[in-house]
Amino acid sequence: MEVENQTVFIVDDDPSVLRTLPRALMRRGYNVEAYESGHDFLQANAGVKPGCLILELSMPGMSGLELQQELLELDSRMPIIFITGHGGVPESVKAMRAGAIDFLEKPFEPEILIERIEEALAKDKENQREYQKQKQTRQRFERLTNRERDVLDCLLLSDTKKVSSKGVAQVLGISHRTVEQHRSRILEKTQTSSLPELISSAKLAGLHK
Amino acid sequence: MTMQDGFFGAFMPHGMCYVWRPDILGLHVASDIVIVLAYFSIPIALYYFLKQRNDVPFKPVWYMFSTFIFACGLTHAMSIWVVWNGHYGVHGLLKAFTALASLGTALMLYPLMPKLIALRSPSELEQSNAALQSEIETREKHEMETSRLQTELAHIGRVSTMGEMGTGLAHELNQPLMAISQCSDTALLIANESNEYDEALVECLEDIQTETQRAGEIIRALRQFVNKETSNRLPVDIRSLVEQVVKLVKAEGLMHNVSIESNVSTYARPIVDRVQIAQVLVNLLRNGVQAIANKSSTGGTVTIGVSQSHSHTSIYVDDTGPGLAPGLDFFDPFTSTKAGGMGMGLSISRSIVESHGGELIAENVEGSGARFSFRLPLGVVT
Repeated sequence: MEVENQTVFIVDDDPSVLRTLPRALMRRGYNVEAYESGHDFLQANAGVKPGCLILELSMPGMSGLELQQELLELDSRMPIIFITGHGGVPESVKAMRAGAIDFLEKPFEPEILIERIEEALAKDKENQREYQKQKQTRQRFERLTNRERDVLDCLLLSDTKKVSSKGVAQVLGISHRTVEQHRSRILEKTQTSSLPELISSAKLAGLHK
Repeated sequence: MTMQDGFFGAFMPHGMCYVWRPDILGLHVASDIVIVLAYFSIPIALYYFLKQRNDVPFKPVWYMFSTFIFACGLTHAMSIWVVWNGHYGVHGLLKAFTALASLGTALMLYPLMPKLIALRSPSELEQSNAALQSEIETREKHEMETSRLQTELAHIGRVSTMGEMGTGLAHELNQPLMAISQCSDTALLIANESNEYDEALVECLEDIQTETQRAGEIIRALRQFVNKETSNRLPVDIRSLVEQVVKLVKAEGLMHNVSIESNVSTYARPIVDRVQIAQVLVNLLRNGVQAIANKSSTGGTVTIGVSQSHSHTSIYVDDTGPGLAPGLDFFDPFTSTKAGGMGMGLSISRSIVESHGGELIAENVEGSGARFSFRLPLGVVT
């Protein structure tokens, strides 16, 4: 059930919820951290940790939606499950558009929350994996020499502008053969085996749209 | 014919001037007699009139006029007397008195002229009376309208306060409900893991969870109603819905010795908001139970029936209570015959039924109690 060092974070200003919800979740075996405001949550730098967030929508000071925006700006991909005692439809739409897992109206059935938590933690895990993969890929691309980067740029350009490798050679003022050599070095360093694979890898690393 | 000196002496009678010609003398005397009678009668008539009509304006003028006419009468009477007796001094004094009276009347009359002209004629008065009357009626109507609007406004105020209260209440109640829900969940977990498994305890905890969720749904439905949020309409198995609501009200029925029976002859699945329609049915059933409980301790029966026609699902709730009290608008918010009743139940129920395109009808059943019924438009029959 619980995932290695994944934590279920709770941000809610209501003391009774803050006392009972963590207890219920801990009893089910989750790591739980609870905060009484979005500000406290941000200060603990919890947004970058693995896990998911159960977030009350309407709170004095920083609202749930504001915290969600704040986390998006911090590039945190933590999945969020909104909970609320108010149940405002417009807010829920906004929250869902910004990538929330679900929007639950208090009091919800505990099973539903558990389902959503599992969903959120799975998504978080996927996010983490993707993030790792992206990081590794980026590191591979960082091993390229400057010249190889130039060739890569041209190759990536050739994808969109339909430029042949001969064209690349012309642009860079080097021989077609040299381009071919660079190309195989690039494929080797980025652990890819074909031009399409290289391009999707570059996309993952954020080098190519 | 005697001749005497002095102002009051008897001079030559006036008849001499007529040389006792019977025709001229007779004409004068007869005319004077008629004039005297007429002049004396006028003040009497006026006096009578003034006595009868207390509201006649300018009374002094009337009296003055009467005096003047009477004095004129006296003068003419004296004219008859002097035909045979020459008392011209007395005659002159009477004339002088008449002159004063007539002058006084004339002097009083002229300054009064503008006022007299301004006096309304009876027909004019009648007209203005009628105008006044219609004005009064208009004002009364306005006043009634104003007071009706004020009542309505106060009513709207109360309802909107209810709405705000409902919204605030929903939020405040949802927090503790959420806490209860989580606590019962934790307790259930502990009970299930315990070595001494207690079935009753587990059931209790499960019931706490179910009831908490139900409370939450009621609040949600209330808030949806208040906020006029769109409701969640799906095909609902009316048979299972009726079973469920009967179960909910059964305990309260037992407490008052009221049995609740259902008579569902359809498997219809009308497209409705399940929670809202459940709320209506619970409300109607509980009203039935309470109506019977208020009437007697011997109990009774509340029957809920559902039937299906080609276009509608018809639902009724009958009770064997005292029936509907006449002259009460049960559907009006804050109208209740129950001690401590808020009067919100039927008003909300009706709004829900109407929002489903139906109409909630309250009537008395001959020889029995009250019947509340409504129809839901065409559902999908399976």
